[in-house]
Amino acid sequence: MKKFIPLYIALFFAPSVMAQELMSVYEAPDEEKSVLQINSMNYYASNHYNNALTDKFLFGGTITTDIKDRALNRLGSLNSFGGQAEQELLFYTPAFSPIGDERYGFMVEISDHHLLSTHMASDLFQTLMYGNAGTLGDTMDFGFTHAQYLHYQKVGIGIYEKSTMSSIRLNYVIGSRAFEGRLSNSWMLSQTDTISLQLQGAGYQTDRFSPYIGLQGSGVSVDLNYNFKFETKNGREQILNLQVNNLGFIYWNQSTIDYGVDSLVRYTGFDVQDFMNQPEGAENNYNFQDTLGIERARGNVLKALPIEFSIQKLPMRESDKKLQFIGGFKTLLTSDYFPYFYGGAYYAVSDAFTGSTRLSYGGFGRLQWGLNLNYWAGDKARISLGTFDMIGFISKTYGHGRSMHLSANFNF
Amino acid sequence: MKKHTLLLFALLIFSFACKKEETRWDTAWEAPLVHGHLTINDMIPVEYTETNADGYLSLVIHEPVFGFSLDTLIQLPDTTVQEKTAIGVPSIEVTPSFVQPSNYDQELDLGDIKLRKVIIRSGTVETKMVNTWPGKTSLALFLPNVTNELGSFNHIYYMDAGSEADPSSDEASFDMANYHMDLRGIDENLFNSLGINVVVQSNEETDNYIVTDADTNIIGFTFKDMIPQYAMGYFGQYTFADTMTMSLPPLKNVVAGTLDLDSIDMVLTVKNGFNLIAQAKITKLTGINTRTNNLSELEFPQKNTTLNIDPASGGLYDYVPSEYPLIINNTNSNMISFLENLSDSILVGYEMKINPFGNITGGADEFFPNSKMELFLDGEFPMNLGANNLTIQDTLDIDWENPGNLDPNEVRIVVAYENGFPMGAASKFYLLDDSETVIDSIIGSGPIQSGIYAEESYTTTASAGQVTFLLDKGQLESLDLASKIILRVAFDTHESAMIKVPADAFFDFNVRSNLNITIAL
Repeated sequence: MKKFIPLYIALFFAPSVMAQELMSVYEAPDEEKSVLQINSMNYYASNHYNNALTDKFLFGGTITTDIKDRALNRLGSLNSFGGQAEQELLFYTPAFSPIGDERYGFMVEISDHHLLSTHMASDLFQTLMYGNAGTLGDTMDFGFTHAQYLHYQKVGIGIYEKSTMSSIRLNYVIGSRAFEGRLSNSWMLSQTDTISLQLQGAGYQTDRFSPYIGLQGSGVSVDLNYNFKFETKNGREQILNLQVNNLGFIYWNQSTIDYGVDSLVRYTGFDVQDFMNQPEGAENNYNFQDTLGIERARGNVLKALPIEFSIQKLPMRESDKKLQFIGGFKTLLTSDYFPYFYGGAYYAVSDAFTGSTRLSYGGFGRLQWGLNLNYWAGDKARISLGTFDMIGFISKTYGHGRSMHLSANFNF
Repeated sequence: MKKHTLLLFALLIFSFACKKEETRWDTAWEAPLVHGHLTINDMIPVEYTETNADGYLSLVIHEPVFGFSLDTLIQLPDTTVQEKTAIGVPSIEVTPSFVQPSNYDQELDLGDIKLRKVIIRSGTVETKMVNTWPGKTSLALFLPNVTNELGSFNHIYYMDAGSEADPSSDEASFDMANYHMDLRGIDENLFNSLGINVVVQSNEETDNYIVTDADTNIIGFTFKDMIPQYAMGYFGQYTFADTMTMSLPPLKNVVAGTLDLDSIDMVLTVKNGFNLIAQAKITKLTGINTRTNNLSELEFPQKNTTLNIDPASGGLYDYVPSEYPLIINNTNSNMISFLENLSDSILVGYEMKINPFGNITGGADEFFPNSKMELFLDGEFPMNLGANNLTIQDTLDIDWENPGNLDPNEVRIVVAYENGFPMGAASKFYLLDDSETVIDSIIGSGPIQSGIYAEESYTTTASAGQVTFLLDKGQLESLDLASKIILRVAFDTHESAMIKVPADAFFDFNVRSNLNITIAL
């Protein structure tokens, strides 16, 4: 019973701990043992909105003019805010090989994924946070504003190579809920007596946003994980990890609502003639959605999953060097995600305890400093805790997000 | 150490999960609310205005102000009439070929009215024939003077053998709409009389039977809900006298100030839509201003004078009402002071005599479809007036609900205008709670300025400006509590002088808002 306590703790934290996970350390597998791996990878980040602002939305409070001004002054052509929360349970067993080759074992995955990816045009931020009174006569460009939220689960089976833990999985994807909206050529011009609003855009949303597992869509995906070993000039073994995840789609059900808008509305206030001298009983109903020309239709929607691609040079636990270089690259196929690069150092304090630190740039965020700690309980288990955004925990002014991750391996 | 780390994470996560208070931030929005271009015809329908000979605006009225119909005098009451028929000999053997015709005039009891002809708008007649003859009998009913487009009214009733103790009968009901009924009887020299032809005969094919003078058959009519659309005859002599109140609700909203008028031309016409002689007398025209308790009696030459009203001319389909015009203007009446009293109700006293000299037309009174006796007003009220703090007030129900996540701090309503009327206005709003106590007021930054009036040319140069209404936090909270709002607008003509309103006067306005709102999520 006692040996499962770490597992309980991990499962307890898994849905809520914040982290951003790229594999922290590679250790040579014991090809005879099964592995239970729990990963909780959670983060949110922004390249321009600092924590002083985002904390007000998360925890409440008054967004002062100073906070708004600081954010507005930093905004640029891409103002991303996004995050991922992924909880994953992986089980590897060498006991049998689905393809009849003893070099490969069988693996199962159950995971839950949230993705939020947004970009808000600077002018839209200014309009929402300040109103339009200060920008009379200015054309406020809302173009390319984008918001996407996706929640899905994956249940997958696959094979892995026992010697390297490289794997390929085929997943059934359960779509729980989603929305996405994107504006193209859209703007607003406020003048003393007229507000002109042009909206061009499209989007969709699922019919419901509850319960937690919504069962509103189905799909398939393939996840690839490849560990490539090579030797340096001085004969030291190194490893490169390549991951391609979410090669697949979700087919949302026929209750899904598809939106489209292509309209130019000039609002000059109500004409008094619309109210005067009307026949008795005449009503003036004003429908904002109709006025904006938003069209909606229900039907199935097929959407590709956001493909994740990463390549990284991992530290090896078995290396005879205490200090190792780490580095990598990740990208996520959404328009708001900037390619993520990192580099840093890994240091083995002892056989049981190691740590790493890194500097990274990209993703939904900006320059980040990360720390990661690994602890081995003999050969039975490893627990890793870390964050890739220490600044986010330290400073509200300079922090632009927060991240935490937890990973645990159990060999038996 | 490990325990402490986990505890730290747990606390951090807990703090993330609990949003302690609303997220709030201040915004300032500017948006147009209402705009418009108003002319006099947006307030007064175009049929009530015209440009007069002097080139400025007059209000004109061409419409009945009071009227009544005389159809209540010419009612055909529900009535049942029966006629008994019997043979004129002690007994007779009735063979299949036996026929007993009879003609008679059935008089209708219509009181003092003596009708010669009516056309029925709606109503029914129910007929019932009762047979006591001891053999099968038929009865043919023929009303030669009751006609429609298909001809004269007729119907045949078939009855089995009956007896005095156990008579047989046959019934039928008829819609009498559009029937023309000549009520002069068979010989066309009576009134209120229906000429009837009846033929009673055996309905047996071979058998004979004996009828005695004790076997009496009955012909019965029941008239129900008979309403005429035309009637001719003598309608009787009547005198009506009454005093009625005409309420003028819009003028109840005038709460202060004075109005100066210059000239009025009015023709009050008594119209008689009936072909009968009548006399009319207007005994009272009293205006009452309930705000000031001032009474104003309108005096004009024909007041309290008996007016002989001629009959309408023409016929059923082309009748023309007779008219008796009463010319009332500021030279022969006190109309100006009467109107300047701003009465909100008027007492009208009148007398009306129908056929004051009796039946001198030989029963030729006529009632035409939709004809009525009415007082028709043709008036021209030149908009040459002066208003001095003429204040109109109205109370409106309001149900302002503060939107939950939009918390207004200050609202500035700006009315930008261009006023081409030679008249300015200042407005105030008063907020009332449920007990109708004034809890707050909203006052504009100034009045709407009058257009500049040129007395020589009757022209007005538009004035432009803007009025700002500023609602602070306290007033917005009062608005949340208010259930009624009083709008009070005081009008002043340019320099409080007499002005003439040009036909092309206009008021352009654009109302925009500046809202300082705290958004709360």
